[in-house]
Amino acid sequence: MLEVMESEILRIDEQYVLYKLDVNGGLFWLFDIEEGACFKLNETSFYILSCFDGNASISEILHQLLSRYPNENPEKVFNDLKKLVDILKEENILS
Amino acid sequence: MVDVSVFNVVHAMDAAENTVLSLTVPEYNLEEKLVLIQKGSRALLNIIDEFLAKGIELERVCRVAVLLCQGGLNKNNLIFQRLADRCALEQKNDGGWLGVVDTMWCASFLELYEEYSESAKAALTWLLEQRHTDGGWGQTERDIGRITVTGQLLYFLPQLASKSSLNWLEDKWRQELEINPRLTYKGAFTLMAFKRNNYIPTDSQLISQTIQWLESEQNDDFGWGPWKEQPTGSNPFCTGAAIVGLSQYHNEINPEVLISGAKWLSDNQLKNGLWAYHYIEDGSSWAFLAYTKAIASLIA
Repeated sequence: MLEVMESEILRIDEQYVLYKLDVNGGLFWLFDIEEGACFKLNETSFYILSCFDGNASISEILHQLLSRYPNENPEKVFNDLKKLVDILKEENILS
Repeated sequence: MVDVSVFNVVHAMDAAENTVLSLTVPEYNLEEKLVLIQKGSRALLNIIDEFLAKGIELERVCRVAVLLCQGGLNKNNLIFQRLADRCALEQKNDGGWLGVVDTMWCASFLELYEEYSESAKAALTWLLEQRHTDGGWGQTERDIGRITVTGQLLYFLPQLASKSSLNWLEDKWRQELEINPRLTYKGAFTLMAFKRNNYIPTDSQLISQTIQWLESEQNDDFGWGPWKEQPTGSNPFCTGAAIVGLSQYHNEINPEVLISGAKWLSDNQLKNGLWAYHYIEDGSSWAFLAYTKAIASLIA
C-alpha cells in the first residue's frame, strides 16, 4: 500500500493556484480561481504544495522534504506527508 | 516542521475566510488587496486558457504568464503547463520564435520550467545574436535599437546584460530626456533594467532625476499616461509600468506616489478582474504586476 502511494504522481487541480506575495520573507496563499476563496498557507505548506507538479512522485517529494528538513525523523515526515496528501485529495485540491 | 504545515493547511481550509480576515497589516487592509489580486489572477489565467484555445500569438500569451508569475503566481498550474508545452513546440530550430520581443517573452516563461531549460538556453543564445553591435536590441535584427525592447530584455532576462547594453540604455535614455514628450514607460523600463542589474550609471544623477520626473508625471487622477496630461489620460499599461519602475527604488520614492498609484489600479479594476485597455490582457497584466509590487513595497 505504501509503495503504491509512494509511486503516485499528483498535481494541484487546475482550479487552484499557489500565490506568494514577495514581502518580509513571503506571504503565501492558495487561490481557488473558480470559487474565489483564498486559503492562507505557511511557507512549508506552500513549498509542499508546489512540489506536486505532475512530474514528481510522492516518494520523490518525500526525498525533497527530507533534504530540506534533514533533522526531522523520516518516518514522521512521511506520515505527515501522507496525512496531508489524504486531506488534499479528499478536498480535490490534488488529483 | 512538516507537522505544523499540515496543521496550518487543514485549518486554513476549514476556516479560509476567517484566516484571511484575521490577517492584519498595520495601516493596510491586506484582505481587500488580496481580493483584487485573486480576481486579477483568476481573470488573467482565464485569458491565457482562452488564448491557448484560440491559438493567439505566443507573444501576447507568454507576456501575461510572465507578468503573472513575476507578480507571485506559482508556475505549477495546468494552464501554465499547457502554455509551456506549446511554447516549446513552436520554437524554431535556431532557438528563436518570430522576433526579438516574442522570443523574450517565451524564453522568460520557459526558463521557469526545468524540463525546458535547454529551450530557454537556445533562446538566450539566439537573442544574443540579435543584439546590435552598439549593445541595444530592436524588435528584429533589421530594426534600430529601442529603449522599450532593450529595457524589458535586460529586466526579464538579466543574464543577457552586459556593460555595453546597459551603457547603450543609459545613453539612449539620457537623449530621450531631452525630447518632448518623454514617454513614461520608457523611463520605467530603464529604471527596471538598471535596478535588476545593479547598474550605476555614469551620470550619477540619472536615476534620481528619472525617479523624480516619473513621479511628477503622475496625473491628477493618480494614474499615468504616456506623458502627463496626454489627451487620452491614464491607462493601466502606463500606470503599471510606472509603478513597477518606481517600486524598484521603493526606498527612494515618495510612498504617497505608490499608495495613490495603487488606488488608481484598485479603482479602475473592472468587475471581471481586468483593466480596460486596447489590448486588455496587456494593460491588465502590467496593472496586476504593478499592484503586487506596490503592495509589497508598501508593507515591506
